[in-house]
Amino acid sequence: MNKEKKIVVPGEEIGTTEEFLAGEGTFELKGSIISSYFGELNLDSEEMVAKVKPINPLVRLKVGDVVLAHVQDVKSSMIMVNVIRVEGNPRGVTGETSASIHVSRISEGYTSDVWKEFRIGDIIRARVMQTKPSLQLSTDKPSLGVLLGFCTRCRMPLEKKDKTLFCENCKRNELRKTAPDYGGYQFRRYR
Amino acid sequence: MGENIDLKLMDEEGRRIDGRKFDELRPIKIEANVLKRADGSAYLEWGGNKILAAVYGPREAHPRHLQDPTKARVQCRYNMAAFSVMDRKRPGPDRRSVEISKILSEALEYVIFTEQFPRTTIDIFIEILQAEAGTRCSGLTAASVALADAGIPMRDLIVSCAFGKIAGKVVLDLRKEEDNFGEADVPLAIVPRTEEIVLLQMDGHLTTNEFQEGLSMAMKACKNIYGLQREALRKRYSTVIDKNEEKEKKEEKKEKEEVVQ
Repeated sequence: MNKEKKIVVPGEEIGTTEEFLAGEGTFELKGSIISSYFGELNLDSEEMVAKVKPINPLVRLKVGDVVLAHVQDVKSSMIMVNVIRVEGNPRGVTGETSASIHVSRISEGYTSDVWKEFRIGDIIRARVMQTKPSLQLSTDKPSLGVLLGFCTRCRMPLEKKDKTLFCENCKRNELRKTAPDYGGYQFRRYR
Repeated sequence: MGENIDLKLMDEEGRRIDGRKFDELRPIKIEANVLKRADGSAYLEWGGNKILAAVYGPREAHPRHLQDPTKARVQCRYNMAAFSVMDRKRPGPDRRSVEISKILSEALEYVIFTEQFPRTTIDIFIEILQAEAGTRCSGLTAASVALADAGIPMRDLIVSCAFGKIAGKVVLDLRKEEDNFGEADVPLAIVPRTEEIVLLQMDGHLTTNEFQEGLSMAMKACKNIYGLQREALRKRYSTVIDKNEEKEKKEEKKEKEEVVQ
């Protein structure tokens, strides 16, 4: 069934402005509608809108996306992170990637000390709360939190032991807000 | 250019060294989506030219002072491999490749909707694996396919082709000997739908009439190459569908097996 769909390339004329409204992935020029993407053409005959769905779409963050991020800085009121990927999507993110997580959105309960939840260098899973004017994330769900943390003394990956994280090298315990799949996450599939 | 040498670039019947007629292109092959790590890519063979183009982005521009709050930067890098020419080419950017990178960036920037991606860069890498005259045209043609493959919104594709003058006659798409010993070489790139010219350079001399003749010939040839670009993208689409169907079948099988268990 898919094979019957029409494929258009950028610059291909789809129709005229009398026939359709220029929808997503198209633009108007001198009365004709032209595709701006390489993708599948979708002529909506009810709404009379011509759209093009790109085959290899760009990744733009939107509210509700679950992302993987890298902790850049920890402050008493918030942490600063860099968004690496949208979870499950191997393509890099288009647009702003530096984000912050406010203390009130770090855990389900009250956070008295941010340094007990996140440390610089941790790889975390978070949810996008806001994209404009600045990127804001949250980790206040049980499924969100640190996926891989590193010892603050020797930078070795920490292992999960009961409720704390343990460094085999320094024989020390550290605290984090961990995700349930801490330590077992397959990062390799994003390469 | 214009040196006297005992090389007959065109015989009495109007055939060139490789047997082409004056308005004939070298064989062209384009393939889209050849690199896994790049967001979009293309491989192009044009006569003896072998070129890889890779596109990354739009991604956050670094260093930050290079970000433009109104639009995306289009950064193109044209690079010739050390083994791409007969004598070893000293690796790294030189005066020629820096200039070509600049003009190709400017040509491609014209068709990309850069204003949709403020503070980002779109990086385009054009690697010349094997060179045989006309690499900037081939590189530009490959890059525009790679950009479309990367899902970047564009006004149109860009097609490029050169014309020139050998043995006193205006011809299309010069090969190496014709470029070296001919009288003129004019690389040209157009936006096929509107026929706007986005790149035009000239080495050598042509009269106005000769230029007009070559221009209309190259325009016509560009339209043919545009067809090949579209064909390459369509082919890429059908492989995507085949892969998706395979995936679906595998998933169905898995589900069935699970039900049996």
